[in-house]
Amino acid sequence: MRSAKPARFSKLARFSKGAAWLAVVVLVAVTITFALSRIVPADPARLAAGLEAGPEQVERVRQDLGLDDPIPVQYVRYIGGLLTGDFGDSLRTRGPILDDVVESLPASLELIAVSFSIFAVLGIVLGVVWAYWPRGVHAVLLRVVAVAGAAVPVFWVGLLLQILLAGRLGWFPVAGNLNHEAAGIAEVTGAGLLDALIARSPSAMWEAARVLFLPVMTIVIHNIALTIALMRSSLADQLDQEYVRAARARGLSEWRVVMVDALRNALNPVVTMLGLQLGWLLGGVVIVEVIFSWPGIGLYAFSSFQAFDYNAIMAITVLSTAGFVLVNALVGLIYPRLDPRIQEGG
Amino acid sequence: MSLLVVDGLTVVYPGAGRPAVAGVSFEIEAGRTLAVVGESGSGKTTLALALAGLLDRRARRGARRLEVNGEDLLSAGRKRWRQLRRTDISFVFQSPVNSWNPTRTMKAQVKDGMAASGRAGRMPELYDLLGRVGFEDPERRLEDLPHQLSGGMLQRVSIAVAVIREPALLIADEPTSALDSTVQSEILAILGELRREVNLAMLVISHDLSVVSRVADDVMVMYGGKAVELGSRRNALHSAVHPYTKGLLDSVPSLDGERKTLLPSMAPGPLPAAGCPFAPRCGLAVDECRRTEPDLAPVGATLAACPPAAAASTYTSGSPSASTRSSTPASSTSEGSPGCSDAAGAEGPP
Ligand SMILES: Nc1ncnc2c1ncn2[C@@H]1O[C@H](COP(=O)(O)OP(=O)(O)OP(=O)(O)O)[C@@H](O)[C@H]1O
Ligand code: SF4
Ligand SMILES: [Mg+2]
Repeated sequence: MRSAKPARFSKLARFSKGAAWLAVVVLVAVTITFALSRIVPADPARLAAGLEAGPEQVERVRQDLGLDDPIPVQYVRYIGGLLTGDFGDSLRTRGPILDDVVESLPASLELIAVSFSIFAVLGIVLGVVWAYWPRGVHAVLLRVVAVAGAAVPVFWVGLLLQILLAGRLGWFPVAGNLNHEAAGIAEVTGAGLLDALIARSPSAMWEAARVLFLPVMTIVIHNIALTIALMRSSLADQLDQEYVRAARARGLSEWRVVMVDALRNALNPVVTMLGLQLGWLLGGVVIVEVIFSWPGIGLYAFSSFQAFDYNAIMAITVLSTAGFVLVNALVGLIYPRLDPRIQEGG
Repeated sequence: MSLLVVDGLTVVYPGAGRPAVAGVSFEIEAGRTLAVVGESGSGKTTLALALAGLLDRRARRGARRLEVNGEDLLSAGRKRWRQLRRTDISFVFQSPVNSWNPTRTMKAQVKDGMAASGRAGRMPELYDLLGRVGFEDPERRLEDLPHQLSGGMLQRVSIAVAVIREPALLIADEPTSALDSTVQSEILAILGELRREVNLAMLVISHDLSVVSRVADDVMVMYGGKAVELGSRRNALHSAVHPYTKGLLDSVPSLDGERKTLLPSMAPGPLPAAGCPFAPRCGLAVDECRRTEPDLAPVGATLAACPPAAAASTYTSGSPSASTRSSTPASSTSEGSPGCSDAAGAEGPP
């Protein structure tokens, strides 16, 4: 029936299937963005040449950028570039887009990683507490958080926090990232907290945490609501299952019953949703970065939109799509650990 | 002294009008088996869970006495109950499939159960026991996930894990009703044999009288949360007094032929707010039945909660089987319950 070899083989098969799937999704995304960028009425050559440029200059730019070639040729050239990691040049900064992305990515990754870890862990813990002790003051509070957090738009939370905690009370900087020079540390990764850690400078760490606080809080408040609510309902469902009662009947401690048996099963939908949330964050971080002038990929995307820097927009779309798909592929690897039945179906 | 003493046990679920279990009293002696019979919703599972401290947290439980091994459990906290489940009280559930976490291997879960009763290092004994109850190659098969094993196999594991800790009391809530009939008899045989070996007291729940007649020493019939008849198996099956018990017996296909009568108005309508819960379906009901709730009282050879039937039986006390016949619900046309001619049993109620 089941032996080790076919299982390993199917694992490999599943992995390659996943990779192929990922490539297809990214290719579709690239194609759609490419098509859109050629459909919109704005003339990229005109934009790139600048407002004062005469018609010949615009034509020269068009030729330079290869925009006078037939669309299929442009498409193939673009895909070919992507395969070698070449996203083209930015019309705005004039440099290779890849350089811009590499420059702004660490700040975004830092913001996303810190926010995500906080709302994932805290959301799970609070959801478990709520499911296990469904009555009491804490349950009322959690219900408020779960409803309000999800209902209030993220820009509203951000602006409110900014006005209140930074503007009025002055506890946190209004906007911007850590200034490495002022904090007296070297810029190694570009992520403030990490650089402060590398430099082992407590004061820089403190500063980095302070600048992170408001944007992180904004993302956490918005996202934790869903995590708490889903964790609660999922675990409450599991705790109602007969196997939980049967485990108690066998004399298992509450900790084992809840944490080993029920929680593991209850985590399944939560992990799915956290994966989606993380995927959304890759694109959804834009608003937060704009509000707090956080110099990450979101702010870069925003500026590119304003300048109709179509190369940069396409690059960011492709990257965030790839990120989204990749995150979900990783989530797919977690499932069989939570529910071994999935392994067989594969 | 009885191993289990239950006196006036009542369980109320929040929001429910009537208690799910209403003032039930009985005792089980060591080595004896009590079968609890009754239709769906009569409170059998609730009763069983209350005896193992496994009720929902929201359920309210009250009793005059609740004792296991002479220990008063009315004041036992959650810790004490867990301790009892580890050493003294074992439970086998109705659905073997739902008794196990679907995402963990049987071995992991069985080990958890063994560790809970302090037998982590004694898995080989469990493998032996499993082998004896017809579970082949236990060491390897337990590596499987629950859904890879059949219901009968899973129930064998449940029973083995329950029995190996040598509890004083084994509670089995419809242990065979989720299984098909050949497997049912195998499981019943296993239960009976192990029970004799360990000499434990057993409470078996069933809605199936044939199960009862195979394993029980004593029988308690429940209706609407109340115990309506209690007696030795022989008496409860053959010289039953309560109209509901008799209806139950009549609805079992009789051994000698086609005759088979169902209880009048089998539709499970709502129970009356007061009085005898069976009154809406009872052919003997009088006005008094709708006013006062009858309690178990000795009638003939059993205890029954039905004053009119008791009265009828004293008029004709010379022939209990005649009295049984005369109080059969009106719509019943049955001439004989399964093999009930030897009605005058010698055993008394427990
Ligand atoms: N967790 C619960 N919360 C509220 N009411 C419940 C709960 N469990 C059972 N009940 C109610 O209590 C009554 C008795 O139910 P119980 O499960 O004890 O009956 P049962 O005799 O075991 O029935 P079955 O043969 O269907 O298993 C029913 O009316 C049922 O609806
Ligand atoms: S005769 Fe009265 S007390 Fe007896 S079962 Fe019928 S309704 Fe209940
Ligand atoms: Mg039941």
